[in-house]
Amino acid sequence: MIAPKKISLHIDGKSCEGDQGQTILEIARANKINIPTLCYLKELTPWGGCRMCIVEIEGSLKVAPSCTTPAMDGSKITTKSDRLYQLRRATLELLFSERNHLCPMCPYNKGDCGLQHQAYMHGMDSIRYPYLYPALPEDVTGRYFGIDHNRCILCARCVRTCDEVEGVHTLDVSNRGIKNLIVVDMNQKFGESTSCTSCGACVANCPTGALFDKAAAFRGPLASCQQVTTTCTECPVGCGLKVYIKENRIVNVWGDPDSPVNRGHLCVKGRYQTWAEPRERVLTPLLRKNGKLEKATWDEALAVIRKGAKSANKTEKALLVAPRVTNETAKTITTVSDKVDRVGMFVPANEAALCAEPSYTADALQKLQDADAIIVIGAQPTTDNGVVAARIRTSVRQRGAKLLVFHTHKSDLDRFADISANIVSLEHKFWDKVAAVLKGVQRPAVVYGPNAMTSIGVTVMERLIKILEKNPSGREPLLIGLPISPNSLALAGTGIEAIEDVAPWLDAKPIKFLHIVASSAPDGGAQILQEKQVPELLQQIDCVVVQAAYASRLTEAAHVVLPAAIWCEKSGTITNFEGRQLSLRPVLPMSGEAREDGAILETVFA
Amino acid sequence: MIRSHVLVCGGVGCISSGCHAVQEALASELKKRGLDSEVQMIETSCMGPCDLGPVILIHPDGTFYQRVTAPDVAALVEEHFVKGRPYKKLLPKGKVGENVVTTARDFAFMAKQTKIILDNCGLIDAENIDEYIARDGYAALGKVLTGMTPDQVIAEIKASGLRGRGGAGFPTGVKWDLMRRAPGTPKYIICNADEGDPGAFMNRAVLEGDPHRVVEGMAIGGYAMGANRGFIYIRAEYPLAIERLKIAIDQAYKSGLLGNNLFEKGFNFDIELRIGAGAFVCGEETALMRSIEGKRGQPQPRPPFPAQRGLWGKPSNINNVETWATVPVIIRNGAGWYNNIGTEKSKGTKVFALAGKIKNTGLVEVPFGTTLRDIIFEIGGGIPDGKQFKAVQTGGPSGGVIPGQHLDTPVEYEALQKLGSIMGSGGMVVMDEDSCMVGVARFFLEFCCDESCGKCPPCRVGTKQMLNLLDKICSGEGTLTDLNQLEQLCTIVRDASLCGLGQAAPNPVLTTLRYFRHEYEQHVREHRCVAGECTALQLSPCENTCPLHMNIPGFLQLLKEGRLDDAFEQVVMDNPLPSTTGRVCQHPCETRCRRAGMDASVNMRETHRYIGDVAYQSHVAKKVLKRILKRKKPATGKKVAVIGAGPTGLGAAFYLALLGHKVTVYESAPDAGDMFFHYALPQYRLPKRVVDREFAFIRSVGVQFKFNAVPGKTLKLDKLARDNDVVFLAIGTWEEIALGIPGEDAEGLYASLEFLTAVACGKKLRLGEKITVIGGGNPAIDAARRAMRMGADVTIVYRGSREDMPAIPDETEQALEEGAHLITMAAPVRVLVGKDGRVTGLEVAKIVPGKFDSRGRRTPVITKETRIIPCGTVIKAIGEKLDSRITKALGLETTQWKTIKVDPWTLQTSNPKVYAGGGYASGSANVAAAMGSGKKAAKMIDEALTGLDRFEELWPKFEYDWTIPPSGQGGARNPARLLPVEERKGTWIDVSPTFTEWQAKAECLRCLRCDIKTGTDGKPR
Repeated sequence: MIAPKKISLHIDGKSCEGDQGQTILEIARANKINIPTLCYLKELTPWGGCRMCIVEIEGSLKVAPSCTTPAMDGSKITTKSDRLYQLRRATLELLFSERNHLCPMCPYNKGDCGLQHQAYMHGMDSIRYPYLYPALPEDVTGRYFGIDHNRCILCARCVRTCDEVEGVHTLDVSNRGIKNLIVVDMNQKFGESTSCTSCGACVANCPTGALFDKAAAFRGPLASCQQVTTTCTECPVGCGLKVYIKENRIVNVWGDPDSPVNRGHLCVKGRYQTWAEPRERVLTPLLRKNGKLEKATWDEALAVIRKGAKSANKTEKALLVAPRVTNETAKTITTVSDKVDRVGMFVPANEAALCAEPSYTADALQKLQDADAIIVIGAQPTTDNGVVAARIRTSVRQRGAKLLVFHTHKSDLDRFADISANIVSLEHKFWDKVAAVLKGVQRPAVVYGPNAMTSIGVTVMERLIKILEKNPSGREPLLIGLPISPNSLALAGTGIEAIEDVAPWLDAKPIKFLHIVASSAPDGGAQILQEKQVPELLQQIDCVVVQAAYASRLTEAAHVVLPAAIWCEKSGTITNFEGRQLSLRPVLPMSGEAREDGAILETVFA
Repeated sequence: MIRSHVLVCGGVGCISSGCHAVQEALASELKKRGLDSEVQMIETSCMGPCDLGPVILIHPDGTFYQRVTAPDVAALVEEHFVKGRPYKKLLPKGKVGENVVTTARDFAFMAKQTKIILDNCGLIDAENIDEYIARDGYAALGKVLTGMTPDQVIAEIKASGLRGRGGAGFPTGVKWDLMRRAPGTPKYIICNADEGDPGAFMNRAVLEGDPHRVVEGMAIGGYAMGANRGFIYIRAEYPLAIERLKIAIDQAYKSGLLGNNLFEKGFNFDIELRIGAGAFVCGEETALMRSIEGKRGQPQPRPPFPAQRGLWGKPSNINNVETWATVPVIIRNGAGWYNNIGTEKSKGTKVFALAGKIKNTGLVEVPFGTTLRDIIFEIGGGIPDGKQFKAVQTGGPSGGVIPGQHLDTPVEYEALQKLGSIMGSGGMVVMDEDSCMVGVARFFLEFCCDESCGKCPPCRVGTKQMLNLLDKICSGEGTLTDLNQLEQLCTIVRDASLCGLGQAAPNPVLTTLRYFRHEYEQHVREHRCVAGECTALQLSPCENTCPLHMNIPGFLQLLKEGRLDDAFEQVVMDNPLPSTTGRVCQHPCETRCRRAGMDASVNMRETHRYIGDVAYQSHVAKKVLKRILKRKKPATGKKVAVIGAGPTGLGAAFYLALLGHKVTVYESAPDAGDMFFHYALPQYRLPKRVVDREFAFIRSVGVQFKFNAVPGKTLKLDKLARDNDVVFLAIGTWEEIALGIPGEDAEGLYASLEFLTAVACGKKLRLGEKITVIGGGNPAIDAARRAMRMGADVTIVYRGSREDMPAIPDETEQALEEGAHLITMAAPVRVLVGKDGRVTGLEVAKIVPGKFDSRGRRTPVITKETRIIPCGTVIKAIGEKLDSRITKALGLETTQWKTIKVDPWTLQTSNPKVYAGGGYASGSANVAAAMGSGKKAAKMIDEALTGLDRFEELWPKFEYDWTIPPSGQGGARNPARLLPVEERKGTWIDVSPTFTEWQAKAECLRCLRCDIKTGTDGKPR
């Protein structure tokens, strides 16, 4: 890369330096000169629509939007003048007259409302124009968020976010002029939308209360909240979270813009499911008495566990963990493993093969963005790793990358793909088509999930790599392994065996004492009960201990239930699929008598 | 052998007026007569004069036929092709003074044009590439590819001075050069054919008439700028243009003029069509490119410019259809040739679409520098129906309105900008006196508001707020604050909007405010729309046009219901001199009567005269007087002096007295008479007894009269001002304007008023046997008719044409019937004087029509050709002016036209105690206007004296039927009754008897009741 040419210009009389190609706004902000904006967001394509960032350029009679106007070497810019103030203020007044922007009645007072802020900055105490206030509809059919068009200023930040960050283009503007309305798909409701992924990025980027998180409504301004950054443990991507808390309650969860992984973007799991979904917590130890689980103290519970543990030999004891515990807990597991016959982690089908040779791809997300062809095999990023799916979509839509999807289930990526095919039924001549699409590709990336590890999956992979190798200009494809479980690769790295089928593992040798670490799995670890024999096998075990954060059928089947910490109470690290060590910070104190996974294990196996 | 070609216009205008039926008829008629082997018929594209369609042009003789219908065809073929002479019935009218023209070359519409872009339109078959090639088509592309470098092509375009025809006028060569130098590949070129201005259809005509020209231009541009792919973005509303473009592109590919390796020079060029969905904003280049990309068509700020980052982020060049169409001609004929046409800064020709209130609606192409006047009046034929020109809107909805005083502006980019308008794509919408300028601004703004994409708040919300303000003003609810806010918003929307749409949207408002501010103020202050377009501000068109704002539908309905007393009360309250005005009013009410659209306007004047006459002849007047006096306000103790008992003074005095003020009217005429009513108006038009009755009525409401009060002599104005709370000056214009020709002071030359009053007073005048009257107004006709009754042989000399005469046409007609001679288009140049110092004749010069003035009338040009009219007496009736002694006595400021300076809204003079109305304040006016001014003065004086708005309280509230009458009842119009000419000639009294009851009732039935306004459900609101 050639370093961009340096330019210098005067902004409000201050001499400023910048790079050629930078906009006036970028250089002004870098030089700590504040220019008001409403529709501008650093990570989005400049839009130039709100007319707040207008500046005067010497030699031009017209005002220019600083967010889109490239800075010219030697130019003289004025950002503050009476004319600009009048125009900006009139623009604000027109916005306030257009729709209902009465702050006290805003259902979602973020407190950092961009419109309100600008009104304060411009000393706006009255509006010259009559209020138009058409009665516009609200749409609250979405699972986690809604839109109140009456609050909308049509800055299109949501539209651009949906298009450029999440890459689904669910949102757009409909109609002309004063009838403009943000529209979902082909004028559907959020609840009916087939393209919306509920990533909530639009809400996070809305400068007013038009798009609002239902769970955060009426919780007061975010500015008054404490902010803690931590890491999402719902999938192996490991997105940085910025959690807003107030009085020991979560008010909202946004992506951490400083996270090198997700750079502020989240999927529905990290953004909402962990806190906006009602889930039944286990808050005290529970003991089965007369066939029913009853509250107990830690001491009572531990006494029962010890009794159960004592009555079993080492060979009759087993430890089964969920692949979402922290690296520190994993270490504890290895230290206690000699006290049990066997330690296993239950993983989804075919993931054991990924765990067999754990491989990380450094900066995979960044590289996905640079790829000119992306091949997805046996993975379902849309449902399993939303942020990866967003990166794939944006690479395809913004930068024209090719996309080939080989899978066993349909996904929303299909509609962006050049080729999408069922992995089990690939005909011969099909490969000519694939070769044609991949012709001339220079920076290919292959994202493979657990289902790529089947024999047919491996054949397809080999075939693809052969085609890519034939490309004269082609580099070796970038291989990105993408498991489903959050920390399974790191756990496998410590030597913990990955178990796909729990029943045979349990049945291999008779067990009298089984400790299951379900941790904060949203299903409370109930996934293992899906195998037919598992419930029966559990019944045959004398003492089943489940440490889980959430109540489930599994805890129902346990003799002792121990309250585990959830994501926002945990500390430690996890390793994401790029091989990054990412820290968890306790956002909230432990609820009830919950304890961290490692601490519980240490106590139990002390 | 083909001896003649018949070109039948197949433009969209002619298609809709039925040219296909004409073609069929022509084909079968030619075949029937066995002429089909000699005469070839060709369907061409638009020839331009769309309003005259279907049109036919016959070569080689160039005969042009207009408004041809299928039934005409047989006669046309018989005359033209069999008998070999033009078929006169369908020939167009030529210049004024000449009757018909046969060839297109002589037809002003065609003759004044210079066709470069439209060269082939209307001549060739647009769907045949061979015809284009035969007209040197694709020669320019060949020239460029085989002998010119891209730089040479760009240099040629630069040298030609061609500027972008899309509206902004950016130099095309410079734009091409920027594009050529822009880094990045591939490059794209785009033809903008998203013509969206209301009333503009230039691009459509070119695309329909000569599509290959655009294709060729684009290929040349592609070669010059290094682009191999071009797009034509055309709106879906142009199906024929799309069809013909498709054919043209297809033919070009087949002929090797598009595609790969053109002229075997290794240059590849492809053109694709993109159909727009009809969004006006997609004519903006950045929005257009987004639309081509398949995205929402919204503009983006520039820079970056398309040449830097355009279609799909690549360097792109956009030019308008007309620009592309001009390129091949420039290359073919050379930059030097093109550079010679037009003005210094605007080169070449421009196509304009003439629309609105203009005779020759259609397309015209003229060199830059042609004046608006030439385009509108010479080529466009002026305003139809004898209406006055008011303004022309150029540049479409984002352009501005240009008023009459700027008609001599040469059409070029900079000149139009200076007037606050723009060239735009070339739409010209002509407006006449019936166009409300607030309504015009509202119309164009509504268009922009609807078409705003909504991206930026100033345009999205600003235009809507402006539209709401204009709605408010048009519905009479606007205030002066609203007007201020409207102006403020104009600036904000103009300066803060993102793209050209928003930046230019306020232009129609800004220019109408600039040139027609008084109309806005009239809407706001008086809740009046003089043009009559704002229906919320009027009861009905007749009420709106009546200077007295009489409730005409109301009294017609009351009379229809047999309620003569109520009808009379309504009439006399609206107009205290019903019998008088019923005889002498110019009845402007009838000019806008909607019944005229069915058969003829309602005879409102005669009906209202009937009500007055019948009421006075019966007990009704007295009965009504009692009712009116019951509503008279208690005495206020305020004293008002009204000077002059003419229409203005009486109009004011009547209401002021009813409002409780002590009113005294001072009149210079002797003995209970008024100069105007009793002396100036002849008895046979207005019998004295009629006026006396009405004077008595006014006296009965409490008005006092003092006669023989001559200002400056028997009336001391300064004392009057001291003794009264308000002085209202209602003195007419009595001093005759001088002719300014030799012999004017000869004996036997009289001013019309001097003559009329002398006759009325029975003064003996020494008159010749032959009398010449100079002038065309009512005083001239009155003088002529009186002179004839005194036995003279009368000749009327007027400088304009008969249609231009300001006198009531019926009166002129009657004068001619009674034996007067009329010489029009003649100007007096000398009064011949005999040895005794008496008049012996008048020498007049022939006048020919000259240029059009700002109202669309031709200014007279006096020629050297003269004639002598022998006569013993000359009466001049060319207008009156003010007596300046009065203004001096009261120390009042005057205007440049020597009228009293008054506040137009309050009629107050520079002396706050003194008000002035009628001719004295506004210059000469007719009776109704003078009375209207008095009525207004009464309202204003009362408001000033009492601080209350109680004028309306004087009126009774009548309940009457409020259902819309069945359409068309009442039969034909009843003309005013008139004695037969033989009886009339000799008589000095009422030549026109009052309507019969039956006639009056019939006229009431004829009223369509425009005062009943229906909602969308059809029910009265």
